[in-house]
Amino acid sequence: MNEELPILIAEDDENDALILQRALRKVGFNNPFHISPTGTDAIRYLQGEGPYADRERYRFPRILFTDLKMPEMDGFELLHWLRSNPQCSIIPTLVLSASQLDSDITRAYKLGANSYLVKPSDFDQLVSILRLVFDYWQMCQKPKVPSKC
Amino acid sequence: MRTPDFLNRLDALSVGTSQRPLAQRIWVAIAMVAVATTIRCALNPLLGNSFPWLLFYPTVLLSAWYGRLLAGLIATLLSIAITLFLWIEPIYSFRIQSVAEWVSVLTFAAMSLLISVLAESSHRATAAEQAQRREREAERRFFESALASITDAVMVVNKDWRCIYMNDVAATMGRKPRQEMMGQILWDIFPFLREDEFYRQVSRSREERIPVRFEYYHAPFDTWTEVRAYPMGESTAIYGMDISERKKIEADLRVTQQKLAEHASSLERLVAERTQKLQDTVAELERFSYTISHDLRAPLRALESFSRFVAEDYHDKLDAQGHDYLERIRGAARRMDALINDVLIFSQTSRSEIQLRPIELDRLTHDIVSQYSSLRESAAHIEIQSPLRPVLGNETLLTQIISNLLSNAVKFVKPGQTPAVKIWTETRDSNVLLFVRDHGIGVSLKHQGKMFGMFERANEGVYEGTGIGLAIVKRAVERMNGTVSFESASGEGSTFRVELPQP
Repeated sequence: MNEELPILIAEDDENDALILQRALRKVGFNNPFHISPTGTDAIRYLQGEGPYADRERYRFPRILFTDLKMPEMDGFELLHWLRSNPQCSIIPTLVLSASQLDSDITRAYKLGANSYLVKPSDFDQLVSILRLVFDYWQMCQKPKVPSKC
Repeated sequence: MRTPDFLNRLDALSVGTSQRPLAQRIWVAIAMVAVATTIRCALNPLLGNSFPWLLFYPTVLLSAWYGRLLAGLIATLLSIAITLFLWIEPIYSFRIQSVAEWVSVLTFAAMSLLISVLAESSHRATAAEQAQRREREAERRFFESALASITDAVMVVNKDWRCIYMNDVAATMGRKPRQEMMGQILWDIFPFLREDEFYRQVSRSREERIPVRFEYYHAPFDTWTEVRAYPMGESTAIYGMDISERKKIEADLRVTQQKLAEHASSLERLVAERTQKLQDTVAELERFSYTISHDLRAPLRALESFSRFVAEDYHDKLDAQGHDYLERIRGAARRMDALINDVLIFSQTSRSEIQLRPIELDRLTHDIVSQYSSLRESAAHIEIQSPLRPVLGNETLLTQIISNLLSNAVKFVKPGQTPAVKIWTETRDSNVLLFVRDHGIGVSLKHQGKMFGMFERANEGVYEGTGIGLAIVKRAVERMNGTVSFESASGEGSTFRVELPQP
């Protein structure tokens, strides 16, 4: 596990972002976090634009958690953007959404999501799901990431 | 008096259609000879034996004229016999003495025969002509009466457009006595026909010598006529049939068809509009479900999680009551979440498109029992009487039904009691009955009527639940064309029975 690289969380709900961070810490992710409240912000972070130009401070993330429903640019648009920018799509992307609609799930996978997780309402359930993710991620070979894309 | 047969045959030889009776013709011939003889006898003092045939020529002529060949021959023979006997020497004898006498007799005989034959042939010619005339007349009468009897107008105009025939219907249309109209020019009788289509079409028929057919509308009488014109030598036959009734029916039919088409298209429009509306409603419902699942549950997650974080992070700073309050916040949030979840399931159960196919109920039930954590945690004794019979249904709906019935069965037990559930199937007619029996607290009679309603909870406050589970079961069963019922007595457990068709 590269502990240096941050985890990028695209999530407009501050509460959900805080809960997710706490759960991730609890299961063993020690990476720094960056919270993007919109898809646009996540893209700027990935590209190292504007306030994120300092790549020492804002390093290219190791993994991306994204919500689907966000202002400005939603999760689907973010997935679509990643797909049409192959140098950025190196980043493993996990969708974490409250939606259980088949249409949403299908669309997200079609747009290249690596996993689709439904936000459970119970914190313990969230922790147990993320523990599986952590264990799985531990086993996976990680790609070399660029400094920006 | 009966006429001798040979005379009949002789007569038949000469004449086809004899108008006068045979006997009458013979008697007239005999009578004429008798008259001639009498007159000749009376002239005897004046003439002596000279000019013996004088009166018998006219006698034969008259007899042949009256009675044709047969009468002529009879008159001839009688005249010869009488003349020989009375006026040719020797008197009172039929003997002929001299060549001169022979010449005289034979001349008379030859002349008489000639007269008779001429009379006969003249008669025949006249008779044939008469027959032909009668035939023509009969034919004419036949056609005239045929043309007169039909209900359509028939007219014939000559090359000057003068009317040379019109039947009764045509005469009625002219509104004048037929005799007055015959021979008049067509346009004098029917001035309006000259002005339009009629004149053009009939003229074309005359010029090109072809039959024409057209439909003619006469506005003043509001009548439609189908007109046919046929060239007939120099003349033209015009035939008119009143088709106003047919036209009226056709027009009515057209109006009706148009109305029907309009109606159909408006119906189509209506269906399209309604379908669109329905699709909009469904889409709205989808959005609504999404909003519920996404937006309403987010604050609940926050409530549940942050109250938990407080309990964890500030554990030491809170007393027992503080912890109790936090636990209550979390419990309420969880319950609210469960409610939202069940409402969503209920609405999905109600409106999602489903397909019915054979379902292995046995495998499905075993899967549910082994997978559902709440069933495992309850440590219930669940007995499945395998094999359960397959049913015709939908797997998602059946999963809802069985998991809800099972979770109810293990939930509603007296505190401390281990739940025991028995599941089995029976067949009845072409249906499968699925039974789920528990030995729990049962349902009191006063609650039984409302068991399948939304938010109905027989044991409010004692047991956790949303009160939607059985409503979901009922809706799911109905969507698969089945029925659900139960038997229960307070304190003696419940038996739910789901009836579904066999595959």
